[in-house]
Amino acid sequence: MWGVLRFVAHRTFVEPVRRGRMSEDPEFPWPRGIRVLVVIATVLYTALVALSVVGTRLREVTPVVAGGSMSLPVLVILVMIPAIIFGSAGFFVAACHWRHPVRYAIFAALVISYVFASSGIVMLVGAVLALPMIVLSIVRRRARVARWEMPLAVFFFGILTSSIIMEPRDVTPLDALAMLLQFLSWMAYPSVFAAGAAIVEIAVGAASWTARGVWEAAYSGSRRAGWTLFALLIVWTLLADVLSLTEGSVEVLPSRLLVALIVVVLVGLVALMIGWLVPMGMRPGVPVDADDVSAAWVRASRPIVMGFAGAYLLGPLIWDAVTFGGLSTYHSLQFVLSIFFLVLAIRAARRGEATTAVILATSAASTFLIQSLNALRVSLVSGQALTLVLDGLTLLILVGLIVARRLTPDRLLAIATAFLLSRFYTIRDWFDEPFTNLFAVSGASAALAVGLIWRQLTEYEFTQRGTSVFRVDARVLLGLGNMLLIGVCILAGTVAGSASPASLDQVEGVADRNIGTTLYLAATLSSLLIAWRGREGGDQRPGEEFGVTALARIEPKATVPAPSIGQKAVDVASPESGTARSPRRGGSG
Amino acid sequence: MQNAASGMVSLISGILIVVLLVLFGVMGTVWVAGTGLPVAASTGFVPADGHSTRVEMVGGAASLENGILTVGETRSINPHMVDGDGISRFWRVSMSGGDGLGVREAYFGVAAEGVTLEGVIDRAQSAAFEPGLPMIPAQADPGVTQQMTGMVRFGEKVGQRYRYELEVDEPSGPAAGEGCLRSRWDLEVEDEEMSRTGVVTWCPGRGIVDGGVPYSGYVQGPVAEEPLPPITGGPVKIPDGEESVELIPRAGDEHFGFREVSLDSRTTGVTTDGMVVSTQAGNRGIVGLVEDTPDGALSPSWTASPPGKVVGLQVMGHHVIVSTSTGHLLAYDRDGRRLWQSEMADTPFGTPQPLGDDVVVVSSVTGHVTAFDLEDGTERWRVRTDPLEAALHVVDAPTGPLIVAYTTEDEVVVIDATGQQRWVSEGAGSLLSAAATDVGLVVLNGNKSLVRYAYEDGEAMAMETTLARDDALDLVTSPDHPGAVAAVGPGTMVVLDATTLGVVDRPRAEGHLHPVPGVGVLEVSGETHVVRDLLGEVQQSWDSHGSTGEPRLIGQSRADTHATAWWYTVAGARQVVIRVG
Repeated sequence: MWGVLRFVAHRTFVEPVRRGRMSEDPEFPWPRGIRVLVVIATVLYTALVALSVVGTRLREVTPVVAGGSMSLPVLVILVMIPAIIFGSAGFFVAACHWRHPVRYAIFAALVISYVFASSGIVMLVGAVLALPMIVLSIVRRRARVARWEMPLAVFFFGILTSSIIMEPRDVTPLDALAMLLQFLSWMAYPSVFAAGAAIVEIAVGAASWTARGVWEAAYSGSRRAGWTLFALLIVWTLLADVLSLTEGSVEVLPSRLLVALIVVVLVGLVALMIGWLVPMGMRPGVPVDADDVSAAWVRASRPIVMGFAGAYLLGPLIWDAVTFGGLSTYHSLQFVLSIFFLVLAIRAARRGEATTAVILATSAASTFLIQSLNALRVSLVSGQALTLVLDGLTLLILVGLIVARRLTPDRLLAIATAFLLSRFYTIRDWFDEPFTNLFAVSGASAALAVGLIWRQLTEYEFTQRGTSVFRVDARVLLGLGNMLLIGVCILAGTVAGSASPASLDQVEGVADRNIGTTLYLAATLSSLLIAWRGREGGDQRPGEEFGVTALARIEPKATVPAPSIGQKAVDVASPESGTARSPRRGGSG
Repeated sequence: MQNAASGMVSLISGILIVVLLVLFGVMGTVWVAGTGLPVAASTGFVPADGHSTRVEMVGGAASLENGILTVGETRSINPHMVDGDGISRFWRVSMSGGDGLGVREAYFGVAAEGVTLEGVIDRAQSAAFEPGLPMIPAQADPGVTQQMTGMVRFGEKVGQRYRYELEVDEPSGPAAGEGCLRSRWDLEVEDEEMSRTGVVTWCPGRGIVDGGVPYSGYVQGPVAEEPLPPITGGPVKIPDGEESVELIPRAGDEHFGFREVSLDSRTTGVTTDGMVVSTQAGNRGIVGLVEDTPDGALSPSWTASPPGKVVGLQVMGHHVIVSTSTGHLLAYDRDGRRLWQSEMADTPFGTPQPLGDDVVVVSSVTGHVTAFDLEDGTERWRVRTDPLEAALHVVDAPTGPLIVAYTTEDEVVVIDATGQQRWVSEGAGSLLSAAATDVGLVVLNGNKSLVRYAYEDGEAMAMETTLARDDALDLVTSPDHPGAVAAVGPGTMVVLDATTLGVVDRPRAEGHLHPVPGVGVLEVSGETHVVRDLLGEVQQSWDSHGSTGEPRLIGQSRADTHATAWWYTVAGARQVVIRVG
């Protein structure tokens, strides 16, 4: 049992951190100067998080500075200003060396933030000082990050930030700082959206690895114990579902259950069809399971996160320019997003990235369906109804497999995973409980703080490898800038005396619903599809990929066959290629 | 050698960055901490950091958590209710201007930086401001206009940009209380083309703030230790069992009535035998007031202290039903004796509602609707809906009483008296009012549309959407005119056919209108009060000499099949309770 627990803890928490933290890959060594910057940023970030934890006490025992819109302890300001400066500098220098149109979005965000937060003289000073920086961004585009660039950028943003704070005008200096923070926090939105789904991410990971861990242990140890646990899982599921149905909640009205069933079936069909586009995807069996979804989530969810964050930010700017069926701009943009996700899914499938394709296809289909329901004024799909329907389908498939005598161990694993995913999804709020007291906040704030910190530990895999378009040193700077900005937002959210100008709590709820639901659906549907159609390449045998006690690192699995002569090779090891699958051994299906 | 040199360069670069960061950090911090606008008298008005300030609320549900102060019902509270002696320091907010009549709750952040308005909930939707709107900043330069921009989010919509200006006046003189500070605010929301202005007055001392505001609420500071002053004043005759209104002026004095303290419009009721029940200061108790003096004055007969603070108060026959912030539901008899105490599922929302003659139903924000037996407080049934957006309405349908709820999922949920959920139907932006007619349930939505639903299955049978420009807030029906339903607002009344919901009449209003359930409307124009039925026919009229305020319904007692309304109106510094119906 301890082996299983250790396995689950390692897969759910240790492995994602080990894979996603900001660390140096020997194949892509960091230039010397970068390490110093990482140390500086890490010290700042640690200080930001530490102050967040003691924030409430700090307000009581240290002097507090008050402006018109918020108040902060002096010590917090002392750390916050350098963090803002370094973070802005990191973003800027990274964008200077990124040969991709995204760099202009970063430049625009920085310019807007500092321009809108300033006025009069400061804008003039900024415009003058910006000239050499503009030259820098043009001439250094193809070069490596030089060791003088960050000091120069820190100096530039330091002058700007100080000028904004010290400029004489009608707002207090603290309010000016708050205004700057408010605009800069927009750049944090992608991370915040991702963080909003972090609790679901942990819950899904824990569920899928628990199922696998117990399955492996049962085969190498006591099968009776395994069957007992499975029976208990079914009892738990049935009890929870019966309770859900009988408590009289309007969330489980027959109409909502029907809508949820339609959504699940349609999303599942879309995911299946996209899977057929994967090279050799038409052969029997499903190439993606819940473990793959969980392992690939951070990478595969990036376009989803960016898409929703972009729609959230863009909505107010293009009000009424994009509306469908009486929906608001934000909801209308989601129709556009769903098509965008579908295109990306098809592309990923054709490249052999089955897991990424399934995740994107799930997001596309669920987003499109939910917004269609909105436009038709039909009752929305509720989380409770979704879980009930998925449990019902799982049960149905289980019974069908038993009757048809096709319940193999591998399909049993898929069924158990599906049940466990639903159970963990419904109790996902428990995962942030231990941290609530730590941050002395509750509700959305704690979930967001936990999510943000989790993402800071797991979303920097992209800094480990570089390409000619975006070198590793620039990636590290981008990661540092993002990390510090998130840290400042966390600090402001927990320590400010009133609602922080960078208050991001509302985003957490939106992210949990939109993005978290995608992850849950993708993982559960993958399991159900495997249970129904079998695994591609045949059943997986216990211990085939790794042992329970041997905490092996999970490698991306590639399904793309070796290219024939003349065909372009796909770099399955490249971070941009997403998760690819390895060919499985044949076996009984 | 090359490596060593390279390493040295990196180190120097790092040191340079650290030096710059420390320099800018210290410089910025010193400037922020040491520089500020001249501090106005406002700092004396603002309590210490909100986490440690003890405040009491009057005017409904209230809480102070994490520096966010929630003000309860802010409509039409008697501005004369606080008068000097015996009431210790308090801060009072009076907000005027804008469409304040619709505001149900306002959330203020109270902290060292001052008081900020974080959000409001009105009848139709909620609005949250990011950052909050400073109302009384800790540092403010009187006469200087401060400007800021931010985002306001209406409900779950994407945020829209707002522009906000604030100007703080010099502390005002005794006419407005002891050193009250007033600020004027101007809010514009770009995309909504909405513009609101208002005035906020904060008074740290005792004193009456000038009236004439359409609504007001207040925050009380440290709690008064002294007992409430005795209620004195002119005579009032509370007819018992009589059908006509009698107003008896005190000999030699045109003014009549009594003076009440801490009487809150939302938590006051009247028993069938004329006892007025009200809350005490800070909603920390209830008091029964009866006529016991020769000249007809009301004085406290008993007081009771339920656990927590009173959230809702309802009178049913001789029972006084109270819901509290601790989630308790209690019943008292007319002598103030506690009859029973029950526990609700969680914090109550809105006022307990009578369901028939022997059941009281309460709701919670989280969506629990629970029915309790009136006699012994046992739970009859409980239903869970989605979290509620609006307080419950109970209507007397031909088939029996129905509970009408509105959830945060924009759904109208109807539950019958046995706790069975009858049907759920699509709503439209909250529920303002509901009325039972012979031909169906009529609902007035937050977007001012009217829908008539069939009682059996909730099928929408008729709809009227032309009321959007009216200020209708309540629906009124009358047994004397079963085919009609009226939508009444402060300035307009629209009479509709109950079957088709077509507009039948739009009587011209001379003054301020108040719905009179079961009868029609009370129209107040200056000192003249006129009660009309749904067809505009005058039922009663009188002059309230010296009246300067607006009447409001403080309770209904049921006698036979007719509802009798007691009205509480302001006459100078005194009030009179009259009966209409």
